[in-house]
Amino acid sequence: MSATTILVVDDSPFASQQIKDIVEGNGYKVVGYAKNGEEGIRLFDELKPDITILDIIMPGIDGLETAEIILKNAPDAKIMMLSSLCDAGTLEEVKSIGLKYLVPKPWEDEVLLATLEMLVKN
Amino acid sequence: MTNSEVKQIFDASFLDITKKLVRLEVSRMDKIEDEQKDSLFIQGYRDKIETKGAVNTTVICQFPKPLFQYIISTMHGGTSPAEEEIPLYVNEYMNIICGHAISKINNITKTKSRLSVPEFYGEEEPLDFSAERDKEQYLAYESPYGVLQVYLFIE
Repeated sequence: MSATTILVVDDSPFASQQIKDIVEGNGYKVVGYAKNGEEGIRLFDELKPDITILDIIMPGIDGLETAEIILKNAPDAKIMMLSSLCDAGTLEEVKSIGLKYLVPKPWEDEVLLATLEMLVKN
Repeated sequence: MTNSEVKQIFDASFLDITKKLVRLEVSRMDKIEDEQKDSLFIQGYRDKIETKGAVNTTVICQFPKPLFQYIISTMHGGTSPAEEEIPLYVNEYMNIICGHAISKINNITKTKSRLSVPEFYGEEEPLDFSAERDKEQYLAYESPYGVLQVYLFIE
């Protein structure tokens, strides 16, 4: 069975490396990294990943706007949002664009993997 | 929410997240006189982040060189990242701590404040905030690598 592919969009190389370290070996393969929303949209179109992990706070267009643009062109895209901002209002914003998952930074590895598993199954 | 309550929430975030993210237990230093503050920061780096919305705050962190190097190398798995990536590591440290704090504030006050993208200031780059000292809330943390200083300017 081939690995589930992941695109990581986060301006932090720390977060990107942590995600790679956690997910690879658990049935996932990180196929691309983007440091901002614009690059993330371009890589999403080019790589067609199974799952996209998007940070919310980034220079340029933020993660929520990036997700909206991706979903406009690919309504079935599976997206998980990441953020150090994890309050009720941010979760509402995530839900308002049709997404279900917001993982807080710093994350617990088990939470990240469980969330990815839910995305794969749904 | 009072300025003192905002300060307490940021204080808890600096203590908790520093321990969790870079495995460093820092202890808060109380009763620092104004004249001592400058002498605690001789050489090092600064990072700035702002919150906008219901709570408008500017947070400036001063890292002495050894502490700064410890934080970025721990986040980079024990080695130094490439020179051009160094600011991105300390920016992420600030983003996570302040995001954690502002999320708590948002949940308690049932209001909405957002974080800016952090800005890194190298050794030679000036960051003058002396004019804002009347709005200042100050936190300092002792570590084996020097004193981490945090200036909170709450509007």
